[in-house]
Amino acid sequence: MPRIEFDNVSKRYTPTTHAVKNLTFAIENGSFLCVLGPSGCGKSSTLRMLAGLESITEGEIRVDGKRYNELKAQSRDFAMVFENYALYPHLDVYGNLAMPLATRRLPRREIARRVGEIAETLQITEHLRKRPRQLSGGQRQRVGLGRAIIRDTRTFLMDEPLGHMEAYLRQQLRTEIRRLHEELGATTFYITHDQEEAAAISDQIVVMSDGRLQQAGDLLTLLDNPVNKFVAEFIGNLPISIIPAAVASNFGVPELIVGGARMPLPENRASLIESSISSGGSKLEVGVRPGDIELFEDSAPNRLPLSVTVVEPLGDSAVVVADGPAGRLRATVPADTAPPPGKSVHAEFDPSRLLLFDEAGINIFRTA
Amino acid sequence: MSEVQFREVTKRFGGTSVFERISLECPEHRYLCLLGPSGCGKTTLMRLVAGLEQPDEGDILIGGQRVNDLPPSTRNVGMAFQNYALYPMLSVRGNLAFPLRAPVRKRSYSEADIDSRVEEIAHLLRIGWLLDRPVTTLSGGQQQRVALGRALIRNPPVLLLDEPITHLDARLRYEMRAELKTLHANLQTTTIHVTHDQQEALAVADLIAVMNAGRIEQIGPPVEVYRYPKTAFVAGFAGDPPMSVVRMPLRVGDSGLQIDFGGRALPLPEKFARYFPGEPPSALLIGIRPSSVSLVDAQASNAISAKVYAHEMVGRELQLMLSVGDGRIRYRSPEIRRFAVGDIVACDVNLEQAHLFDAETGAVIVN
Amino acid sequence: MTSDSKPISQFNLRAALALGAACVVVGFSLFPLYIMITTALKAESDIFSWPPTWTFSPTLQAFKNAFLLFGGQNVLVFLFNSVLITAASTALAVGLGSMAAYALARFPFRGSKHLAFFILSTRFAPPVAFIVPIYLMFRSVGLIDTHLALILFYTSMNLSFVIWVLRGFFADIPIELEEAALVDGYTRWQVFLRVALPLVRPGLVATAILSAVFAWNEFLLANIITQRDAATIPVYLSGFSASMGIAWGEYMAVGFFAVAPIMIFTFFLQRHLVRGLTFGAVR
Repeated sequence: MPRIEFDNVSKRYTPTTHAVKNLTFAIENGSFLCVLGPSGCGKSSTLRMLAGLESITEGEIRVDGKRYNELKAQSRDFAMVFENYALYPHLDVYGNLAMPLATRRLPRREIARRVGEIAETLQITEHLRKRPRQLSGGQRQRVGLGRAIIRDTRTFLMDEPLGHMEAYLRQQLRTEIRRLHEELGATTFYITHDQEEAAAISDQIVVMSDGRLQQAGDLLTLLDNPVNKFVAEFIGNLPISIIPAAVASNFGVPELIVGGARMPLPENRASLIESSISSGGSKLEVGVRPGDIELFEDSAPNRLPLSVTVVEPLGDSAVVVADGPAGRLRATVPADTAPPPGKSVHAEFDPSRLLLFDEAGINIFRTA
Repeated sequence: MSEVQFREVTKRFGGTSVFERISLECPEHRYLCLLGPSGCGKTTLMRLVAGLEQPDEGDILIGGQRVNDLPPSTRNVGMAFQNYALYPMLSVRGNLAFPLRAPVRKRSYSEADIDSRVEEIAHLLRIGWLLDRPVTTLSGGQQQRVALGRALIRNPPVLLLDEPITHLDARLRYEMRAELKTLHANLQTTTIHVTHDQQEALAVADLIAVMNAGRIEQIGPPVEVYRYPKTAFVAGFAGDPPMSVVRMPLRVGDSGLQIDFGGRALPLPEKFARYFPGEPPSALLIGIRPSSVSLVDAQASNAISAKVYAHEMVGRELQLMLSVGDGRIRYRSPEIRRFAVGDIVACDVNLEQAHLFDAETGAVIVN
Repeated sequence: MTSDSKPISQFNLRAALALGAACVVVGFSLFPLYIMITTALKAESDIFSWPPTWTFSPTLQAFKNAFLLFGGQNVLVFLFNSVLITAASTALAVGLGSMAAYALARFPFRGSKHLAFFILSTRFAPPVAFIVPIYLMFRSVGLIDTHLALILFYTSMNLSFVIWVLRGFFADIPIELEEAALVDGYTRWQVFLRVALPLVRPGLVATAILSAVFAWNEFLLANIITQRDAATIPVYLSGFSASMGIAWGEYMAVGFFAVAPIMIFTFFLQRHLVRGLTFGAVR
């Protein structure tokens, strides 16, 4: 299976504005890579350059070491799945699936066999004689996927394929896409703005913002060791809480001061502060994920006093939204122990999981 | 009084019925979520309250008064639409003031009243600094706030929200759903909120009505809906993650009833036996929470052979979908391990915590 | 040359080519207008000089002649007739048409599509085909040579087209915008006036321009059912050439008056055609 490299790739639509700037990363052969970012971050341009639908302003895209910049889209042998399905409205499902084979002069029987097989895999056999407009969004995208895999290509490019669907359909279909990927072993390049989807489906995630690569890695790296505030806020099912903090010295050992609470730090984090505090980062913020906060009734020097604003039950657990002078925090607690709105609570952070951002938003506590 | 009631309401579109004889009540000051997949009739139900659709049979009551024959303009409900429906030719201020300038309220508000109401609502929703911008230049979250403000500005006794936050980015969605809840706590407006997102419904509602194919499957507080689902549909729809509902054959074994998990028979716990006094059904729908599934050694006495159907990371956690017999069971792994689709594993299901549903009707037998 | 400046120069070259092409097209379409105006300003000797003279001393003699000819009637009378008839028929066509179009777009009933098509089909026959019956009808109700006759006829001719175009514009308005206003306390009629009409302004402008151009330029029927009192500029123009042979200077001077008002009207409205074409607030 192909290995795809982006080497310092840039894309400019006008002489001065970059859609994509100095992008460098690689997709290992047979792996599933998600490019993740908010709308307008350049992820679509990235995919379109790889597909050959747009020219590359600078840099090089290589597939198995071969330069692809000048190769025409139709010669690249990628199969693409689109957000808006891009099915042929005048053909039925069978016709849509058979389309990529029709150009290859395969015998009719062979085409019928392949279409039948694919339809079976994607559970759309009963719809083969329907037109796309008679299908639901989920069914249409199954056809879109089928049309991509029927060609036996070794690389899939998927452009927000689940973007137009309802939550539970998205969950179903992302499972199917991942299963197909493992079954076929093809290299898959997938773009999405939904971090939950990216986390669920991929081996590697590339986070982009403003046309630049922010960080590449697996989910746990991005969760525990984000390079900056943008990645920390973008990744994670429940939003991370970010509140102002300061550093103080307790007999020469640095501590964090967060909204009046003094939080001692594990040694490795304390030493990271020592090495970076000299650079004069005065305006600091801590980031803490909902699962790394514990709520207590009693106060303690290392606990942040807060008042509960909203409780959101999610089933076994609940999200407590609490406000204090320092700002708003979200903590997950077991549903039975959730304090009612209006109650005062004291939040203790897991110091080994804390993130600390300097004025530029760089995570000082990044260890990896 | 502003409770909303449906009495035996039937709605059809050109011969096909959306729902038949639905009865439902949203008590005064409560926040009701209508939850269900697309096409279940939840949006139609809400539009009946607004007067944008007419019922074919039955009555709709707001505050005890029958409103079937009232046009939308006099029903005095506020509504926020899924696509925001802001007037592109007006500024934020113009959009917010629009309901106050309606002819039905002619002379109820002076220009000074309108100005102060607009300022007040804009402050509440933190869009004061946007008042003189054209709405076309706002971000999605800002447009959503304006839409909400326009629905709330005349303090309507009933607020209708049609998928109000579904189309926002994840981050904004979390922010807005906490805000909706705070807003409701402050204003106490009777609210009906339509959504297909079960997490949103659980998080924000006082009451959830789960709908499926034109029927109300269950209505109750979120915790009740999650813990004690009345039907197999509700069980498989609500919760994060929802429980797995699998259909398994029921057999009479040597020592009582047994459930056949793809070849491995597990005894039906003693406490469930009394629900099957006569001839037992041939199969059951069994609701299994991920927390009652564990991976065990293949040699263990209760081990059920399962195949990994799918694996995915949810937050910091690895979840597996395991194929067992004809069904699929979700499992939450305590550790991050490498699994591949098709791997064979052995699992154990704690049936003591299972929920049983009738295999034919889907109705709950025991929670 | 640095690598950065290369795309810039290419970009400019392309822009220059586009500009040049646009100039050619504009020049080509404005040339008749140029000939018309210069001819009107030339003395008779200059008009027929060969080769054509590009420089000449302008004279208003042709305009003066034109004003006083044709039975001693002032050209301003005909101009007034044209303006009145065009304005009235355009206002009626767009006013009535927008209401009919809104109804067709928003209140579907059994056969409403057939009705819409039937309305359009009234434009399928060439107007000359029903000129005789129209003439007879107008004569029997005593409308010959009245403004009302032309206003009625032009309104009915434009109505079908206005309805057809505006129906599409109204159908494109997201229904939620109107539903929101209904829930907010507006009646259907107020929703039409306050929400729907402002949103279809580009459509109103487009249909108004095309209706006005049709009414302004229509000659065939006007020539048959008006003689003096209600005659429009095109009628005047034709009578002019018949009675005088062709006096090119005077002819062009009147032509200038025939073209100017509609040009001014279109010039001021055309920017509204573009403005507001995006319904940005609805996703």
